[in-house]
Amino acid sequence: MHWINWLIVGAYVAWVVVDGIRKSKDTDTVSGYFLANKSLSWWVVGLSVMATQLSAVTMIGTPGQGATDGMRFIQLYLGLPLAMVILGVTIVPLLHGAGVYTAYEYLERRFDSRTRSLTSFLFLISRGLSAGAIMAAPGVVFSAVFGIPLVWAVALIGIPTVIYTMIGGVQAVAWADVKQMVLIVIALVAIMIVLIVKMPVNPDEALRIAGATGRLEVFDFSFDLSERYTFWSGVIGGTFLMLSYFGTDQSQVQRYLAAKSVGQAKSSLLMSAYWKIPLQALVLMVGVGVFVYYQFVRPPLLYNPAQEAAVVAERGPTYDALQNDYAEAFTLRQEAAQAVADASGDAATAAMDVFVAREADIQTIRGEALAMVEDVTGEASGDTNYIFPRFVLSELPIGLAGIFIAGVFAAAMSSIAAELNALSTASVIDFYRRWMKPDADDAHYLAVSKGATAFWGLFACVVATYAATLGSLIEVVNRFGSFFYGSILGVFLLAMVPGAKAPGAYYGLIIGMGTVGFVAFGTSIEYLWQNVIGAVVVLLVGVPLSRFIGGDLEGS
Amino acid sequence: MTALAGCLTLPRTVQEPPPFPAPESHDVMPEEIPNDGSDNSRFRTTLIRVIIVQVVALGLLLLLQLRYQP
Repeated sequence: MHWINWLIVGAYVAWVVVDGIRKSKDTDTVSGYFLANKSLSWWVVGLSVMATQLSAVTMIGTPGQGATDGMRFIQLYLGLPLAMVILGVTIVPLLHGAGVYTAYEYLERRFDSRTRSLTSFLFLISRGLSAGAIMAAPGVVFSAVFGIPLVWAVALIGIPTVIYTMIGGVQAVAWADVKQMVLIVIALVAIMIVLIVKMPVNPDEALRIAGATGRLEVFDFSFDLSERYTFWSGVIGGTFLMLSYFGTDQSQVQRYLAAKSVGQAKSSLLMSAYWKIPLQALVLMVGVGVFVYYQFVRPPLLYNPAQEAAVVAERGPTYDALQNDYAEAFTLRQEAAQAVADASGDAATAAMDVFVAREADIQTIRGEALAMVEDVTGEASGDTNYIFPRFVLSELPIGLAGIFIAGVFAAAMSSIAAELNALSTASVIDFYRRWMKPDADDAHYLAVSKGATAFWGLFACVVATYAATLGSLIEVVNRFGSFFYGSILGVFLLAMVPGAKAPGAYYGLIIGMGTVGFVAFGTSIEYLWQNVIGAVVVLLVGVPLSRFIGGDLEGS
Repeated sequence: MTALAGCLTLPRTVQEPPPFPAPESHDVMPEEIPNDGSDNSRFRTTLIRVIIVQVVALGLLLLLQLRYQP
């Protein structure tokens, strides 16, 4: 990478870390460290909420998703605006006014300590795994850029993040998020402009080429539970996913608990309601643009340089022959793409059919190359996550590539920091202070919190080295989440049902998780629906159980 | 281990939770969220604005699909 790009990356990362450490004033109390003494304005919280969710996974994995699968992934976010509005009038005022540090603290007041502990435990597992997946994305970038093992790349991201999170607490995390959002939006808009300028065809022709392969199919109105992204899974399953994620996941709840007032907390969520879908559309469209661009500029046969090097070392002549086939097939596809761009009327349909056939030929050759990778390395060979980084590093002008890479680092660091801060909070408040040492002073809890941050940072690093091989990371994160979120949401919904009792919540949660486990591993029902199933099962079990068992079991 | 046991078994003795406004007993309904007419009106206005913005954004994407999908 050019030294100017390095300079930009280094300067930005240093600024985030140093400024994060500077924000450590007023964090010498538990309230200051975890909740910023409830001093944050709505726009800081709003940008922090958006930035926590817009991680490096979005920056890397989502354009890759757009390039390989098109725009339909946006359906996952259809439920988000509705979820934000619902949360604004229900859970946000409830939790903000309850004077709690964690969302699960509230469950003890409503039900009992067992329900609180189990729910918090499930959060720790799910968020710990997701933090690892989020850390894997920039690790992938680093390993592609430097040609170093993923383990070292993950450590380069994780260590500075743990440092400023440990020292600065939620203040450092929130203000880092603000910087990230500004940089990310600038980088995405700039990349889109560069794509349009460098594209060999005009935007209308580019969209026609993308549409020919189905990449502009945004909405699928079929009701098929085994189809991953549909309008219905997005509106229904997506609403439940977003209600649970923004309403019960500590990494988001802690943001608006730090807001100055309930009104400011509500306003912060509305920022996501307005802007998430347009922003996500921009990210996916960048990926679609990369796909079209690569119809005219030959991309690598394998996007992961480490995998390519391994294949060349073991199967050089065979891979060379495949490269020749690929070059010929690319030329044919390029001609077909140009024909689509030039054709009009009835000729356009015939041209599209030829283009689709040529694209299929390319995918066949890519499939052979990826199979070779699996044979040689013994690992799963998916390289979706490398498409966009390779594009950025090889095609973007000096400076802009640096801004993008800096944005990826900033995105990763701020999202991971938010996760680590939340994991530390839940660990200390819901377990250490609640069960082990309820009478210590703030200084003691702060020291333990910093240790917990370090522990979860290490855990996330370990998970990250595995998560990178699981396919599109944006899907991995949401799959992890959907396994747990529905049932956790169900407990909070049950909390609002008059007459619901602690045994109903506790056993409902266990049965909900068991049901989701069966659905996930025993059926072909796609993951978004697991959010709905988990929540509904908890309610269906919890309400009648409360009626027939009832009572508070603690101390009896 | 103690913490994990806390969520798996009934505690033999009940530990007092850290001080915050504690209910007199468990299974307490959530506090009433103040809900007057101005809140409902503000909620309706906000909902309408959010719907408008999303309809415009999604409408543009749908137009894209209809225009360019074969």
